[in-house]
Amino acid sequence: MKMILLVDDSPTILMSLKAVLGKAGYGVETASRGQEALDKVKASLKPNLIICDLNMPQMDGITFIKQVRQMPAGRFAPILMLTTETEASKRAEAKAAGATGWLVKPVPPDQLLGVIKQVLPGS
Amino acid sequence: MDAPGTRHVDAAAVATVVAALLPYCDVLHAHMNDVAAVSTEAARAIIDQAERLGATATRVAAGHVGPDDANVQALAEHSTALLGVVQFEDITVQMVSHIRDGLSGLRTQLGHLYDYATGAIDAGTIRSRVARVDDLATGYVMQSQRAAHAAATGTELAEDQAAPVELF
Repeated sequence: MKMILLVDDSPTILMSLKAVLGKAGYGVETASRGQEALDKVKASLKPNLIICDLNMPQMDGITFIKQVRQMPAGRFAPILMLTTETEASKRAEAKAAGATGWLVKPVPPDQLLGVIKQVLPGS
Repeated sequence: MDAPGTRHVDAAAVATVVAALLPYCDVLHAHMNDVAAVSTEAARAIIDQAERLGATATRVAAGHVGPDDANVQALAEHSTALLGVVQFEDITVQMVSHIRDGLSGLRTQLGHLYDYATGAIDAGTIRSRVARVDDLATGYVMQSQRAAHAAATGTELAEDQAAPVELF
């Protein structure tokens, strides 16, 4: 089973996406802060994919990406930014930090699952 | 004679503050309209999905369809779509958060005005503390906020044609 790490400070987003991804057959781990997600990856979690919000308290999504890319378990996993932000400069910043893609909320579940299939072939 | 603690105020200083407050109010008002529109749109989407879900469930429960019927698949799809619609809550919370911050700034400005009117600060101080409405824009996290701000202040908005989904 492919493991997806969801990082978002919104409990509603975590709950709804966990349900969507779980129904689609993915294992899901959640974190409401960037540091919490880093701690899980540092401990033992080896996500096949990370879906991360941009605007979060304490550590924003771009800082999180930069840090998780320094970890062996996060170096090559695809990372999708899931955010309300559309600004081109932020997209470019995320791309430079190592993001794989950018999705603007709200994303219909079937579209999200389609993108996941693209970045996680065979899932 | 002035009442204790009051004084004649410098009309130009008050005008400076009021001129800064009015567009502030316009922007906050536009944001509230924006929040209402998002909530209405989301509520309609939820109702639509719930009605589809209910209709499909009724057909299944009545035994009009078997477990392999397309309606059973539709039931699963509608429930998944419903889970996606709740993302509006996150969007609404972020919008409301900016209105809350704006109202907090407005309250601070009114406090300065009160301090000036009661003689606690002078005209130079109140002018130096005037907040600019465009400062609100520095915290925006979505294009709809920038659009509401631009509409309320009559400023140009840079078009953002980027696709909602982009793989790098």
